Amino acid sequence: MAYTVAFSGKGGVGKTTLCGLFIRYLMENDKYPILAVDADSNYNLNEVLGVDVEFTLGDVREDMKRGNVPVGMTKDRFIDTKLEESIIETDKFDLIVMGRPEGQGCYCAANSLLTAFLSKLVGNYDYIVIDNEAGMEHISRLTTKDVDILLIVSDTSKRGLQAAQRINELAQSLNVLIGRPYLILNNVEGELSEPVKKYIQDMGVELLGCVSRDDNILEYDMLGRPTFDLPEDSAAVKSAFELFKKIV
Amino acid sequence: MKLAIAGKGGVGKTTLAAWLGDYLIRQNKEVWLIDADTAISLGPALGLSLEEVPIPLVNNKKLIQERVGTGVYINLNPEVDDLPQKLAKDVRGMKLLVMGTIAGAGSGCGCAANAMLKALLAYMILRSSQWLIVDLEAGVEHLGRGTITSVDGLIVISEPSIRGLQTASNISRLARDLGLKKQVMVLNRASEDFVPPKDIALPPIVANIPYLKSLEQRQQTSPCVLDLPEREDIDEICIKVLDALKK
Repeated sequence: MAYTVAFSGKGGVGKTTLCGLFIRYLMENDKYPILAVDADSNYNLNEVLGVDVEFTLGDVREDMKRGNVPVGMTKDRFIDTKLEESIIETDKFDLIVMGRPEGQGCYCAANSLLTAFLSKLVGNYDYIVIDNEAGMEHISRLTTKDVDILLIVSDTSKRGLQAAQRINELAQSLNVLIGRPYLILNNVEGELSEPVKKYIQDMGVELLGCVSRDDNILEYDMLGRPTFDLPEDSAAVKSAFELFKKIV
Repeated sequence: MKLAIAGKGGVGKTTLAAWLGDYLIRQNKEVWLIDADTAISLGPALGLSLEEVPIPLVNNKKLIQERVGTGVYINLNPEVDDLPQKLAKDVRGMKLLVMGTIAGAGSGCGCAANAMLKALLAYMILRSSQWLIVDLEAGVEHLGRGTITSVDGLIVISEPSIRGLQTASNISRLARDLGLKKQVMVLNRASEDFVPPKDIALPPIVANIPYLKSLEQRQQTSPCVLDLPEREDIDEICIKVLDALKK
């Protein structure tokens, strides 16, 4: 069984950056093969990891729905091939990108093919890392594998924390087994304020810890450099790795 | 005028939506705001407490079942005309509708919830005579061509990060391909001399929201983004954006 870790949180709090650092942590500790799943409709985990996306599962689903199948090939066969092709492969991790949401009409048939493909695929990996948007719709698509750990990422803003709270409630109501939710506070400078501590306490999710504010990240983002390549001794990498040690 | 605001998560879509609504309501306009973002934080941004925020339409199973149906036969064009009044929450004279996000299929069939959401969005966009601002994280392309052509303008927003700008560029291109040509770009928290890289195609930049210390401080204790000391500057930004869209 693959060990599955999912990241969620309000947009812009650093989910994708931390997700990238987590994948790097696994690689550096010889914990692979890893399947990285980008389930954010505005996907950019690939940019954090420094790989290119040619087409997404969403694109293949669109093809399925529209019936863009070459002459002389059965639909199933064609879709299987396309789905295989959508996997971005590297030495230690593979990446699949769920892509943009559905257009008009009914997508059920296309979605069941997609779910079947994903169930088959996840068996090939020891670790699965999912980058989700706050809605977490895609987690339930991977139902064959339960999520061992849900990492809810937030900054110290009230809106970020409220979103975290909502995600935790949503996670409880999904019909996916979630081993354990933890909260990670990102972009933290100094001590947490009393209201923030109090809010977390009331939320009832265990705080795994804080990741320090790091100007390197701003600079990398501004220049479009993959944050995956942040220097080992930078504050965010060091503090994030300390937290990851507690769960893997 | 019907406007959509889109961009990567966390770049300030919801904040700008709240500011625009607040500015327009003070000009005595009829204002409808629609929250179709994953974080569902427009209500709190306008000053509502979590308890006051209505449940998102996508999670209103009973209503969806009643209008769309379940099982084999579902009505993909449900009746929705009475819903805006029924579901809207009054905030400072504005009407807020909380929709949630177009769902992936998730566990089972997401068609019913999606049909409901799209029908209501389409209804709101197609009917006339008020200001409508939609906070739509994922962009507009899933709305369908018919609906998109009735959107008067798209505001794309980004921070000065390559990932944010790339997302803005994608959203803009997809919307343009579907016929939504009136687009403006707003930069958030960029320094005055910031120039986006030339190889990222973006709509014309019409406003730059400066970093506001007061907002950052406020966000530590309250999700509300209104009544900041810089309200006049914020109004200026709203005027710039709206003027550019009217042209």
